[in-house]
Amino acid sequence: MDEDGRARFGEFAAARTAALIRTAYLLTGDQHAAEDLVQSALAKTFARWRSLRHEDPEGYVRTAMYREQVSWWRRLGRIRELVTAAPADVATPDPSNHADLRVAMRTALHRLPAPQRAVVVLRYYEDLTESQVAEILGCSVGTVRSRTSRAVGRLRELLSAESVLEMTP
Amino acid sequence: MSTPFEDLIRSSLSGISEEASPVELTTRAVALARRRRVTTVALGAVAAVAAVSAIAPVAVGSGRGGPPVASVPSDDSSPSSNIAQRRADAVVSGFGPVSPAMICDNGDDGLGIVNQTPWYTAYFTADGDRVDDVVVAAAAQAGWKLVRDEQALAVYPHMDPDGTVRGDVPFKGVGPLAGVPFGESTTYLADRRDSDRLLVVDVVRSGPVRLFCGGTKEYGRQTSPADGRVIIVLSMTAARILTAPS
Repeated sequence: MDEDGRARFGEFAAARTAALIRTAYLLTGDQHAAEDLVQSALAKTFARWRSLRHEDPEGYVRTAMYREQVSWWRRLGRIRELVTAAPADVATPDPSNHADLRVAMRTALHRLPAPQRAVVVLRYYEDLTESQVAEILGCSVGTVRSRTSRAVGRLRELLSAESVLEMTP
Repeated sequence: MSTPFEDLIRSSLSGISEEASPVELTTRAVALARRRRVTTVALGAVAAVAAVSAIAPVAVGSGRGGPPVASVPSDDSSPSSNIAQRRADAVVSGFGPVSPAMICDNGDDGLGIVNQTPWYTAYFTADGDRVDDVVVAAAAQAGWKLVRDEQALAVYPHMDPDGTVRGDVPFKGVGPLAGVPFGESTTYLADRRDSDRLLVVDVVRSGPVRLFCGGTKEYGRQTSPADGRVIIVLSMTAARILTAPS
């Protein structure tokens, strides 16, 4: 890759890394794992930068990140998730209930299988449509719909168990 | 149309995402991409040789003593490419109150063909006063919760109930091992270890410590802490770097 290409990749990565890490943190629930995930996705993007720079590098790196996370989850046999699933934080009483809710939501989110968590992040954090989510994850719209339904149901169940959810749909 | 619960998910996700700390990853990503390319080329060369061997065994048989298979070009790794070292540095930055002085360090960025696990070990001398509290606090500010290595109790018969090892332990024929000091010491372990991610800190108050770092002449030499000082052995192992299928 020429100097100009490297410079443009550097600009792209510098501009987007913070946002990518925030998304990766939601996917992994762990700062270090989020860095690993973004680094790996950026490396794949860099390798194909020559063809991507005139297309949609942002879309490519996000797709790589989501698919890689699901792939890692499958390949590692969920070991990483099981080990890190127990959060170290202990929620302290919060008058507004917002902090309690966030801690509970983080814990609940981390208990979802990676494919369901990816769908939740894409649908409710990235605000993508079902067809856009299907395209990124490489699955059908029906699969996205069913995963979303199961994930939301599971989140509601977990939050209810934590007694931080007092609302009805 | 969103339900109240879906709105709740949205707001929670937005809040949680802000907990992530921004870091610079461009250099590491580029280094990883280059290593992957080298790996692909090298594996391709090996596969090609294997294919040729399978197709033309006679030709290979007659070629013994010929030129070896092309080796992977070496690529010096910059300190910033080692994730383990960067995370260790975050811990070490909190050692200030005990006036640390690095003896030597060693590590691998895990971007090679064989070694995919970044690791880093550093040896320091430091003031003995309050060193345990400082080490634990330094790890905590870097996101690691250190606890005494309880498993070490079963390994070392001379260890006191508080985790302190006194006197010799039965490896005399081998000599002190890295991170296994023979004198008075305390071992700490991060309680949040992953399947392949770990932080171990040894605080050695007396007795020899073997240093597995430095040049070929220094590698493996022994040293002991001076009066009033301790030796801190910090070992960090990061998550294995995986290459996801395209």
